[in-house]
Amino acid sequence: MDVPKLILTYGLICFFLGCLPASLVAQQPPPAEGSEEALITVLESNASLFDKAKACQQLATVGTKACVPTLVKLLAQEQLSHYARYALEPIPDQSVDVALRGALGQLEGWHLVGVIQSIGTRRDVNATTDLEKFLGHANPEVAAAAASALGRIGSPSAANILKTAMQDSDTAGPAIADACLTAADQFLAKGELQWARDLYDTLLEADLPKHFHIASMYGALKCRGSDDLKLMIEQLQSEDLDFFQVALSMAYELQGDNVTSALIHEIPKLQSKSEPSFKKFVILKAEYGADTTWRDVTKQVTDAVVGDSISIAADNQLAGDPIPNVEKKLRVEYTLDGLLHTKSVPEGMILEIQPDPHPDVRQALLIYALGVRGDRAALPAILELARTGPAESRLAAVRALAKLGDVTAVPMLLEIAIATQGEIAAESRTSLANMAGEPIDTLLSDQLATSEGPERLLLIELAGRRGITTAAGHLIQLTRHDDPAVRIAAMDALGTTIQLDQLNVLIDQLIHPQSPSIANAASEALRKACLRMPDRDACAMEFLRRLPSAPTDAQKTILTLLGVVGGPKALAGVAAAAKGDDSALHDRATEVLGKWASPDAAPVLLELANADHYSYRHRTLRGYISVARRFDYSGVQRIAMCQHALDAATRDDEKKLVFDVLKEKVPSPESLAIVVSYLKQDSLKDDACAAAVAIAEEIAPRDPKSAQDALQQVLEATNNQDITAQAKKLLDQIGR
Amino acid sequence: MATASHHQSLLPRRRFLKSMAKASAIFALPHIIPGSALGRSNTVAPSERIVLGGLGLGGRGTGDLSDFLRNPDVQFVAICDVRKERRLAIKKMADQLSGNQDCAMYRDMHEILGRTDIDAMLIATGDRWHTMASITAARAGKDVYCEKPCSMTIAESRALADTFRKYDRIYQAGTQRRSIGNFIFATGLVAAGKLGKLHTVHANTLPPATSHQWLPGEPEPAKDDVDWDMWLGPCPWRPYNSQYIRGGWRGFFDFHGGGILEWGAHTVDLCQWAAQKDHTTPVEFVPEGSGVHATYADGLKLVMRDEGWMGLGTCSVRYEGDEGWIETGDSGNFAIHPESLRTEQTVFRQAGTDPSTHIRNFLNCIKTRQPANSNADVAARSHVVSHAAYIAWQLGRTLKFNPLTEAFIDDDEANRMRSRALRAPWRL
Repeated sequence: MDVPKLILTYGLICFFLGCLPASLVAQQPPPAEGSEEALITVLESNASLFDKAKACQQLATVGTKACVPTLVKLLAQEQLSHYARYALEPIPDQSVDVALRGALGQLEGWHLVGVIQSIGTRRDVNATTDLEKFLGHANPEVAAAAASALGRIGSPSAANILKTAMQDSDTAGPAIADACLTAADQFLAKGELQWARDLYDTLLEADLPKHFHIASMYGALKCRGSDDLKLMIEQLQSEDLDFFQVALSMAYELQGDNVTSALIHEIPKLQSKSEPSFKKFVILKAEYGADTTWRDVTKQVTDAVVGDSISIAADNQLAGDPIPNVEKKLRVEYTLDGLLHTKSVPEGMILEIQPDPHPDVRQALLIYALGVRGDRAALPAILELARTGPAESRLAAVRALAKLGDVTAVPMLLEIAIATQGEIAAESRTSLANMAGEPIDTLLSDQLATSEGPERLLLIELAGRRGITTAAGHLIQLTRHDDPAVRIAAMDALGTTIQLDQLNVLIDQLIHPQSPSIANAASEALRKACLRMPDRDACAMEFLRRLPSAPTDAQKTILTLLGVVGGPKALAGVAAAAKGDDSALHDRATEVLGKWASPDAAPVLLELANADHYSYRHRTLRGYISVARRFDYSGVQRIAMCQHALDAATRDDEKKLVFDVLKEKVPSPESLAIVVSYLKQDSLKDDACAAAVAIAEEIAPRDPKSAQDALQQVLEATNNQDITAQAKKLLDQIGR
Repeated sequence: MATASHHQSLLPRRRFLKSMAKASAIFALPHIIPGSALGRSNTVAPSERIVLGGLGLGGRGTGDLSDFLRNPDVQFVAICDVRKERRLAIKKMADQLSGNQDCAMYRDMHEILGRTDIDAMLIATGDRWHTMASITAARAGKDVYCEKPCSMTIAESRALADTFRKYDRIYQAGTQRRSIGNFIFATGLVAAGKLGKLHTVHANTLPPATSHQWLPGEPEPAKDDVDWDMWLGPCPWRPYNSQYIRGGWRGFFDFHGGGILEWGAHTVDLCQWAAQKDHTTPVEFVPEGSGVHATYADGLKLVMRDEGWMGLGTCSVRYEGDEGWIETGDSGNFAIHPESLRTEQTVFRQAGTDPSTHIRNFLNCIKTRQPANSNADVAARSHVVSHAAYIAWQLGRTLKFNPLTEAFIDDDEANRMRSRALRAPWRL
């Protein structure tokens, strides 16, 4: 995590904690406690609104039919109507249903809406007739609430009412449609498919906003499942992308070979009917020949372009025979809409470049879905699309191969990754990196041994991305290659493939680099490798063995890497460097110690913080305080660490950091005593007072005496108005 | 009906680990399909982008919006907030980025949701509004990215999942750690069997307590400045106090789900995911100090606790099997046992708080209609766990739970705490 993010995160926590009401060390009981009878008495008295509200909230968990009559009387009261429902809704007694139904005729406006909602929440099947009367209510909120309640009840009777209302232009609309969906969803969940299907079909025929038709179509498809794919196929063929996407949702959900087959069958049909066209088709370069003898035929090929297409024979008529008695090729480099492509055909064949159909996202999306489904039955079709599909679909197919592909896909993906540029080349690399399977590792590793040029660089990258440890030997050889790009790529790949007994290869490159870029590559590779080494101490020893004889810059890097390794040996090595005679290493060693990833760095940090004349004692003290804050300690341990830090501190800002730890991590009487002891130091008293108030607020519920004593001392010590006000307010609260 | 699982548990172990280790790269694809080709059918021209609206964007929401706007296929067109100063601040930010004055402002949620040109909503209100706003947006046909926690009660959690399934809408909970490399890797390690048989998962939570008190009443501001009634939304009425709207609503029972949910929305969710329990919940909840210990039907333990962590960052999780364990947190670092498992490690640079990959996953899913990483079903389940734990902690007794009905067994009082009546006209 970078530093700003860390600060932000910490800030959010403090913000959250700081916003909690005071004294929430334990759950507050609801203010209204007591028996149901006592709570009813409150509700029937002249008690305050707060008391009555809380009595209702308490009755929500303890009320019985005994409190129902009292609560029902509150349903018409402006600020208590909702609180009365809050109590009534969860009471498991039929008297509540009777009472709520009885209240329907006596309420209006929001109060009526609320009661109807409560009936819906309780799924009162006996209320359907009552609710039906409100579907045509003049107040649309009342009508909508009634519809919603019927939907939640979801009985056959409620469904029939809703279906009729949906077919009536006076009542049909979004509220009824939503209720029908709710009811249908419940029928679907219960397996009552005919009821569900009937409601979905009703909605599909109704005049509604489009998203209701989408939802209904989705439900209708779910009712049919994988046994009846006709409607789903119809949606896949829809020119309306929204309905196509409904079918796509089902493509992720439905299992079965028949589903995969049907989806594959639809792919070629998803071609746009619009005219195919290129925005820009440019021949960059064309050559005819073989081996190292090639003749430029760019002009001849360019002249053969007709509109957006070209069809030209690869033979000696292009520009004579550049290399007799050898089979030749025609190879063309061209751009389509700015994207570079290459194509080649052997002598005697026709080179054809035809414009792809207009990009059809539906085909690409369906290919993507087949990839997500992970059904290997789709692999042949996906491979074919990756070879020959339209540009968008080809890209999607290459991506799908990341999940579906096996070793048979490797040659084609390698060719695409090397011979093309842009997005499809990058995706081919990604798919090659992510396809699962040991045979792929073996194939790529074997091929790396004999490859060269761009293919070698690609295979090095893939060995690294796939973590092919069997390739490490060859990668090590490549770290001595003449080409710096190959050396750096090989080192990078070694970061994720090298083993402990090979680590010296990278350490050598770090200590004796041929260039700064090699040193950087070695450092980064070692950082990745350090995280992976199974035996931390053995790894640390590899570095420590080389540390004394390394140049200073390399020594500093090794110290940083020891911080990545972690563990006892690494810590001892860094500590030794921090304490050692070579002052050039103190800076880096103390930096590493201050960020140590486990609390065992604390003793050495404290030792250095207490060392007179040590140049980095303040840094190490801050590191020690950071350990006290970051790691898990008992209260006693943390307070002891804070006391050690205060004893070592020579600066006010360091002591303030300790106050923060005490305040935030161990608010206790012991912490309070420590903070209070600084109230009389002028340069610290405001911070000590603020910390004391914060701690006193936390401990007051369980130790009011200590809190009061400390607050009195704060009032005597401070002139700060805000702190004074806070202390007085808290004293007042404790006093009450 | 045969339905495919979105889990990858059927993959061979080693293959699963490799695929999970690389999953962050897959999920992080900048675009599934070039954005220019994939606008929703009714909004293709002229922008061919995902048209986004915002609801209740304060500090976290503004950060989310910044991340959304780094995606070139997102066009932000409108903000809705009950607070005028926030409406103006978001409009200023959006207009500056777009170079025009087109960002519309609304106080009433129904107005922004009525706009048919808006495809998706970013919701980052206070917790009390998350479910209601998300459900209302789904009913208006919108896809939704909503900050956590996703719900205030068990009933809200269920309604959320049901509604998004009902409307076939994409939902992404702001539990971004499901899209962040180190957490993905830890889950993969479990799934690959590298820890042996999993027996305990640990979730970093905060102290659970909340308050039932009201702050002293203050005069209500003008409705256009702060619409207090709308701010309260479905919650019980109480007198206005400016502290609430400045973030001081946290810690009050009516507005806040407590400390287990506060971080459990992330960490319990991660544990559910790692343990491949996205489809279920524990069957027993036992209060323990400031946390809760839960047990699944197969004996797996889920420990929700606020202490005893190794200092690997906020929102830590720990997964323990009979052959090893892993602990990780927002720092991106790990502690692993046995040491030999370090060979599986790689470098993760994304902090747990960074939602950018998660947001991109949401945008991709809008186009592909694939369920998002933190879809409504998995979010609902993990929130149910946190809610059930908090109920057990409040009651101070062991509770048995039925994952199928999402109801407590033989505990009427606990069952009555699964929902809260909503203020009219708000309904699930």
